Amino acid sequence: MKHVGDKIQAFVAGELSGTEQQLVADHLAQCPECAAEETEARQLWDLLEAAEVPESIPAESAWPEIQARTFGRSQSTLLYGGGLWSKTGIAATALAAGLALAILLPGGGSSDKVLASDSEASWGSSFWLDEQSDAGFSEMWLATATDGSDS
Amino acid sequence: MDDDTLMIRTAEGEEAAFRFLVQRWEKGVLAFLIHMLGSVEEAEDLVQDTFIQVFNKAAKYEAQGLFKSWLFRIAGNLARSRLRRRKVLRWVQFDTTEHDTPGADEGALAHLEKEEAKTKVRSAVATLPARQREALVLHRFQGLKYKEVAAAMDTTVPGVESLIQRAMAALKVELAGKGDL
Ligand SMILES: [Zn+2]
Repeated sequence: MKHVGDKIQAFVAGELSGTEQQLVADHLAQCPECAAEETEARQLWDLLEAAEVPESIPAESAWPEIQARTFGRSQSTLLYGGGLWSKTGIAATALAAGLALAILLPGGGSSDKVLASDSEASWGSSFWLDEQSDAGFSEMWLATATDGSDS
Repeated sequence: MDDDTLMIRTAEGEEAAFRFLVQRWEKGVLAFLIHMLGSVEEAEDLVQDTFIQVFNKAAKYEAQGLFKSWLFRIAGNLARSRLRRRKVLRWVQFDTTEHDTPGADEGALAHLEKEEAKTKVRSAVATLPARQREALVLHRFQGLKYKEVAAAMDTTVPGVESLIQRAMAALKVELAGKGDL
């Protein structure tokens, strides 16, 4: 009698074809050794439920952020047209960067200071927006903001 | 509405379709990335990046009913490159204590024991080699069939079978040694 140890995981996962599934089931019915392995595999399978990420994560949808980086952006293109948009984009980025910096600066910072770092940060960010793919956005953003707070 | 239809409409510029797609899949993508990266914060970052890529590639998407695999392939690629950039594979056990509050009929002690058991299983999963972990998480937690995992990971069905078998064998050793099995 050939044991079915190497098929048990796929059997438990329901990944075998109908015929194979039947063959393994028949074998399990008459082989205590393989049946014990099957029991163990099912226990482990069930135990893994404990590692599941709780339903409560995330607390909120990421849609607003994703919207702003997709349809939110193409809306601006529609409104302002390609050429103008890039300028508008830079202005918007500068404004947002200024806000971020104002928050990051210890003690709030003077308005002069915010304005000065503001323009540097905006160029960094908008350069990045033009030159790079979206993948590293948050990192670049953070790096830019951190540079600003040093000044 | 099925994912393929939503993707076609997204490519046509229908925001509501994209929103529906994001809201249908973001939890699953986040959970997958948490398992891959061990950090909720980093995972949340990459959830955004994943859907930005989905949006940017929507026009090139071939509607063949393989959206799930395609989506997790994007998320998996982002996770892997993030792991590579870390150089040393560091594992931060994700903390969910503030999310898992005791149920009404559950005492504080029972809750604590349950949390300990969860931590043990989670760190056992976390210490698996990345590819084994990826295959296992996609299959066990995201419910992808072997065929779908294979498409997401650019491998074959026997390849997935072997990854999952090795993952389960390692987990058995890890958890049986600690009296959980
Ligand atoms: Zn047997």
